[in-house]
Amino acid sequence: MLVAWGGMASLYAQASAGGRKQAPASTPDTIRAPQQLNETYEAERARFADSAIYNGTYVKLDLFNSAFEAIRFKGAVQNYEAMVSVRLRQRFYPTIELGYALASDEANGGAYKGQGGFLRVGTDINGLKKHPESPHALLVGVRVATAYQGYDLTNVTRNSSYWQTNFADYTDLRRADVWGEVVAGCNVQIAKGFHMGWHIRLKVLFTRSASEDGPLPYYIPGFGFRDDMNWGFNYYIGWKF
Amino acid sequence: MERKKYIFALIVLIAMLCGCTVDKQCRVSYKVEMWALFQGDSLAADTTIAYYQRYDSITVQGVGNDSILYDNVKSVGTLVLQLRPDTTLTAYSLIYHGQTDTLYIRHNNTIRFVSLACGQMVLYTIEEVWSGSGWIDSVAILDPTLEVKGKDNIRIIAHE
Repeated sequence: MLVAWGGMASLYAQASAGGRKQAPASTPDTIRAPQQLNETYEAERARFADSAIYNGTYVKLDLFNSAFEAIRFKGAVQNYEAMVSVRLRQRFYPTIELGYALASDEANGGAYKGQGGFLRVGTDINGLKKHPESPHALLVGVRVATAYQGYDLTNVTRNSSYWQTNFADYTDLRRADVWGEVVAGCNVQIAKGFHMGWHIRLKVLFTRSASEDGPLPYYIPGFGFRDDMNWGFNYYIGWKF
Repeated sequence: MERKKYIFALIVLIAMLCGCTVDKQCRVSYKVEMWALFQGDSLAADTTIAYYQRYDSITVQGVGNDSILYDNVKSVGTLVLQLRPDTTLTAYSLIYHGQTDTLYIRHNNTIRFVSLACGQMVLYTIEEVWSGSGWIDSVAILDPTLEVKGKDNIRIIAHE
């Protein structure tokens, strides 16, 4: 591509040399006016930029879940997450998301407490076909995610309305869960290097079976409340390096 | 118009997310009970036909429990009994017209955690049933698995 551009520039230089070398009578393909050449240069530059492999690294922090869950559950559920992605060939955003969550609850005299970390790995694709080089992006993508947590359930009832009710404690339980996500969202450059964006997520839990050892945790860090399927939303602020 | 669409979409999204909450009340019954139907001794003991014989003046009390479950109840065709979640042998004392007999059930207990609000559910599988030497002739297992939705699990054959 650069070679092609260099060749065109050299032809232009020859054409502007004037009387020293007379241009052939009809060479419309090789000799162009400065305005045309400038347009060609811009087009070539854009193509070059589009084909570059590495286009920057984004570091983003999620604001929505931290605030929403803290307010909604009055601090009983807390979720913190950050995301690192690189932009490759303008369109592709391989992404790693890391987070930490804790949940606690009480009901019917029983208590639940769990905490753990999660990791999501995947990629987004920029859906802006006409201007992939734009700093803004319309994103769709997929993730594979895992969470590992420790949790305790204490004073859990084993009800019998006729025989006496028993209570059981489950402590120091550990469990890993795996799920997949389809994500869609956008990324907008607010100021140079400063970005904002959101993601909406459809999450499908792969590890649904009950453990033989004890009860399952009802909150999964990064996934939400245990269910076969879940929705999620993130609102990010981020920086591009 | 465009702005209204965005506001509507935002409200729907927030409503969806607000739906994710922990239920503090157990709204579903996870009570697992054993159904025992009475059969008169005029019908063959190994019959596959469920046959309800109604008995009057039945009193039922769990062995080891001070509470009476059926207190001189009239026209009883089926007893609905709870098995013990803390052990694998349950015994009930059955009194019929002043005669006492004991029903024994040996069972397997499988514990399943339901939720914090609902606690644990115990699933039972009947392994063996027998009776003492009273007014009950014999006892047979019809379906050893106890479920939330009741079904006939054992048959008590007695004098009519």
